Amino acid sequence: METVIKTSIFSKNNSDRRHFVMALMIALGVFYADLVRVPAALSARQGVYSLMEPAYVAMAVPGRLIEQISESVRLGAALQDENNQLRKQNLLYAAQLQRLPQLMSENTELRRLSEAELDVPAAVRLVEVIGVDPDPSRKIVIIRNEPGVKLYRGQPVLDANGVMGRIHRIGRQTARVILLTDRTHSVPVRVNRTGIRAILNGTGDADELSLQFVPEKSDIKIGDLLTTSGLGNDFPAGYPVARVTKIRRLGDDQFLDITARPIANLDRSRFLLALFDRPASSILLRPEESQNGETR
Amino acid sequence: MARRVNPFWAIVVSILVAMLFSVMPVAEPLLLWRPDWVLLVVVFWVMHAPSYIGIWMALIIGLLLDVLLATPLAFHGTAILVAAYLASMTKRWGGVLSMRQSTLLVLGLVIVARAVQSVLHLWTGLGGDLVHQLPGIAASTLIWPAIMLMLIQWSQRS
Repeated sequence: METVIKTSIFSKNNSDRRHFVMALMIALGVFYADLVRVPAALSARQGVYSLMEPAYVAMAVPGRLIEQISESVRLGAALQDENNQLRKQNLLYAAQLQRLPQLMSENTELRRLSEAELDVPAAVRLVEVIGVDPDPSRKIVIIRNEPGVKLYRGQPVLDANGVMGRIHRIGRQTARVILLTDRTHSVPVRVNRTGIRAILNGTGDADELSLQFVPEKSDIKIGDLLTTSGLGNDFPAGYPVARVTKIRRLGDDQFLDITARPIANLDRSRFLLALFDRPASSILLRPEESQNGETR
Repeated sequence: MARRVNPFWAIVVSILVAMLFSVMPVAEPLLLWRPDWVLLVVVFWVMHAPSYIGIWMALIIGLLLDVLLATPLAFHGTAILVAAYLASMTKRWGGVLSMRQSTLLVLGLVIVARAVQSVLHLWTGLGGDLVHQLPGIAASTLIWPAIMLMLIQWSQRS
């Protein structure tokens, strides 16, 4: 009865408070365990995630419906715009295509001359984007993981234009792709024109990447294409990643401050390609894993 | 007013829907405006059906949300736990809270919960940004009356 007499408007129940303190300690303990990656916390999360992920699959349904509807009721002007653009693009492609036979014959000729092996095209798998991470500070998309496809952690993901990012968590029906622009993402690249190697980091901004460790006297220009360098564990060489948009010289820094814009349509592409191809250097770094990494 | 409906299924369904809403894809500019759906629903049940949802359930629901969102475990769990505990302290006059009072209370709870998350974010080294929290806090507070009106019919207090 003494609680009634207290002046506080809150009812202060001792047993409640004890429960709260216990629960809080457990919560913080779990948080810490997850932070330092205790294996038990990771496997528990993995198990529960399989139960929860149908939510993402279910959530993709209305989105797709809305998309279909909006597609069918798209306004005339927008449609016309798109039509014009497609026509232009088509023309461009047609022009480029004209050179293809010539290039092909030239290529086989050259190959015969150098007796090089034919480049085996890398195995890819089409995957569908079904969701976006709701946290605005992260740049992560959720893709559907079909049974029988052995996606792996760190696997590169591309769209029609270039590199999107890499897979960082895999569930039974979904997988999460961390995009180039996420703050925690970086990819080893080279400047296509000159071969300078550098690291391309995400900034958390939707179309800004930051190119790190380019020495001050380097030959680099706005518009330079950055491609994957094939160093590191995940990305094979030669895929386009970004274009340089801004170069700044900071007074006393020995490196340039360079920003770049991703080439892939990070926020629009709906179908992506998961690439089953590891860079040559990964064999040196992780001999035991590169064996089973190339499953299709 | 003595009529009391068993709220079990209402609780289960409302929490599931809240979880779906928290992963629902929305347009980029609206991302920051996403209300803390799960937190609001849990706070409602803690105040209106305390024998079903207590702070332990709040913690468990928060942990499930963490798994769903792939945030560090207990990131939402701790925040929801703290908010649920504060909400449970209003037990004695939960029934007589007017809409305006409870909305103010929720405003406070959401701010506290987001502050807890910011502290946890600092702990992981990611660094919290308070300015970006404001739209979410506003949206959560504004959506509260709707949630309350929708769920009040299952309230266990009169």
